[in-house]
Amino acid sequence: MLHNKKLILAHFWLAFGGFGFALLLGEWQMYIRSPLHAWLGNPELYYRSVTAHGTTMAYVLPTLVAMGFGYAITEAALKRPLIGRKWAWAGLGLVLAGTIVAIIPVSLGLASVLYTFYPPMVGNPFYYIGVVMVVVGSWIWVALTVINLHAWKRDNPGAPVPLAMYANTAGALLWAWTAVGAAIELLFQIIPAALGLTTTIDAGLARVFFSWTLHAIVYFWLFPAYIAYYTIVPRAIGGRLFSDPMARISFSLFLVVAMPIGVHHLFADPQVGAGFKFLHSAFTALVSLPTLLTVFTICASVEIAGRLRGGKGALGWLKVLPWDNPLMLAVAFSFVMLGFGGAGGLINMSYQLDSSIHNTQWVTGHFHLIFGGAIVIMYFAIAYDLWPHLTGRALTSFRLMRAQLWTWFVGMIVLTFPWHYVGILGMPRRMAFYDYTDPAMAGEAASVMMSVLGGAILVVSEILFFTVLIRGHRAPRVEAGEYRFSVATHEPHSVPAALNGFGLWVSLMLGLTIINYGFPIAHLMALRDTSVPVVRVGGAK
Amino acid sequence: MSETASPGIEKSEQVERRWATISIVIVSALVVMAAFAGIHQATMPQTRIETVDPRTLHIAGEFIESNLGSALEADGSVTVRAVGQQYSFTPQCIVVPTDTPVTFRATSADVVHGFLIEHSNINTMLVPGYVSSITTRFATPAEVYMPCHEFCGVGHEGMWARIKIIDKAAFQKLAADRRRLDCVAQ
Amino acid sequence: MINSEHEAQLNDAALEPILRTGARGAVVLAGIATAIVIGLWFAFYLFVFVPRAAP
Repeated sequence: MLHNKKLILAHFWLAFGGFGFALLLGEWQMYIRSPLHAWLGNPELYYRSVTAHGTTMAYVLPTLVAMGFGYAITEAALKRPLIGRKWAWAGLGLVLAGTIVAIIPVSLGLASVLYTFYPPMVGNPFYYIGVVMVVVGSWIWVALTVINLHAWKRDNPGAPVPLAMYANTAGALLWAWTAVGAAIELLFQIIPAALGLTTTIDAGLARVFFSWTLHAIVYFWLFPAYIAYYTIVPRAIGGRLFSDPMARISFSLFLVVAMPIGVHHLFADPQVGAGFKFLHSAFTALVSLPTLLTVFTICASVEIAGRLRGGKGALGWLKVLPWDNPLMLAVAFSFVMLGFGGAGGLINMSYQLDSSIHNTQWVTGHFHLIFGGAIVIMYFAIAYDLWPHLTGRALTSFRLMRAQLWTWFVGMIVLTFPWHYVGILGMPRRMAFYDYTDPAMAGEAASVMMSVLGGAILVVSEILFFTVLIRGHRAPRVEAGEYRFSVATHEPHSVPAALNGFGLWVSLMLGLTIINYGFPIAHLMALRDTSVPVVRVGGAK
Repeated sequence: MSETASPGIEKSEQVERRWATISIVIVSALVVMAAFAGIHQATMPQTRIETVDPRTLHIAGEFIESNLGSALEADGSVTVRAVGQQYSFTPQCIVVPTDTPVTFRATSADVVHGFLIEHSNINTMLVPGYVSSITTRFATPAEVYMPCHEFCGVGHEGMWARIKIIDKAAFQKLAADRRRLDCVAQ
Repeated sequence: MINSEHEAQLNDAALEPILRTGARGAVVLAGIATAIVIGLWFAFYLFVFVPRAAP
């Protein structure tokens, strides 16, 4: 008979606790003493990783989300099966194949050129060919989107295009046109150089073509999130969309102004003159307008949900909103991150202010906050909303979804706020190593470590995210019903042609492209002797 | 949308229009501020494009090695000429005076580089085939870093130059003896 | 779908009195948010850009 159970138990727990800790230390020592750890500080592996991370996060993730969500909208909003199903699968196959073709040379260290390509550095041709395949696969989606809308309009003459489909098509058209810049750079400059067909390349001109794609691509990434703001959130939280026409105007403005502003990525470059840099800066200010409109319209739509629940006062309605609903949490977090990320963006676009932080870690912090934060959190929300309709099984744990969204939000703030700060301190971008013992760098050390902690929180969030989705494939079967979108306060019976189609906006977009990019491109193409020798990367001959 | 709308809908439309107007005013104000900052406090990037051949930089022209470094011009201003290449700047240590217009003229000998000067708004790209030119002024003596901030290959993390800002009189004295100044030996 | 539906959500009549107040809450919330964003821009201008600008 044991009388002092707690005493004995305490001895054993203390013993095993110490043991557990010391065992881990022992394995750490084994690892450090062995040849296995030599790779940890290898800069080449760092740049390989940056290339793979950037390529996947910038070219693969958002493209596939836009395509998948786009097909869901096409079927649910137009209420008919997708026309061109086989082509859609072919498009997906091309994206997948392209990703594999691109990632193989990157993984082998043959194409550590980063996702922004950086000519005259040129890597293995299959990296670029893979990226082109991904883009072509996505262009199949663009074509199918247009074809499906056209068929619906023919069968429903004069009817208002459902908002979700209108926005989806605008996003597809924007992507199709903005991808052309990088496509020209890849097809006519980089791939010929990578294949050895040319030995020189105009790096300045290549950067101008890339800038054509570089800004508007982030609006392509943004479209699914903004579509969710307008067409999913009001429905989900028990409200109404405040204004259908304002939504159409915002999406149309994005279609027109998102693309011809790319030179703001070239403010510090010598191959574009000051006049065009200022022009692009001014147009970039214009593209903040649809976001300002969106913020108001969505706040007003959410307010309706609050007031319907009895919320009173100027801000008291916030308290009574359904905060247990993951979509409510997602949109709130998204807007907070959009606010800070947007402020950073306004600073970056303000011509001279950019010179304080250009190519510092501020820029990297900025786009992780706005894209990885504000936009990607809505990708999660879209997945949560659609999942039961795709799997035929219920998503049961709101708690887990909320925990995932909370950790993503907190992790993103902890990751990016110190990141902006070290950028202000002057920490340059894309270096594999920093000497934190140097007095000039010592002030950055604590902030960088905080960012590492933020990243770790994001990894936890990622695990939660996969847990929710995978469980969603194994939960009890449920009839999810028809997928619905939000209802406007005033559902339109007819919509002006300008907000029901794209002829006007696409014409404006093309016209602005000519005005804003025509001269810079033509001038550089006409200048003689600006082609410089290709510098091969990755041990290629 | 030209249908009979309830008073509530009309009020909504009015509120949206007001917000849109305010937004347009805010956006315009930002553009004006950016222009103001550009004109008055500028570290203006060059207005025109200048080209150069990276293959012959070291053989002939403005960027041969003996012409790099800081040069005191006849009008009292200083021109600093530098070249960036994988993975260093030449000269590795650049000396400039306080209280003087300083123009940096630089280019790349191979791939895209860039540099910023700590504690300043000097920030430019170096694109092979083009000359970057940027004019500024330094107020107080200091020693600061000038890192390459554009990915230029595997050795990018090692590409750091130094800038020594010294008193104007001290600089004039040094410049009396030598055509081109740098602080590489220090 | 994830819905916290409210019975009055699709009832135009219930909506009308809410709309007549003119999105007061949204104006306040979006207004505060926009002011913060513009404030951050000015903070950067005054505390980062200007101190580094060439004299």
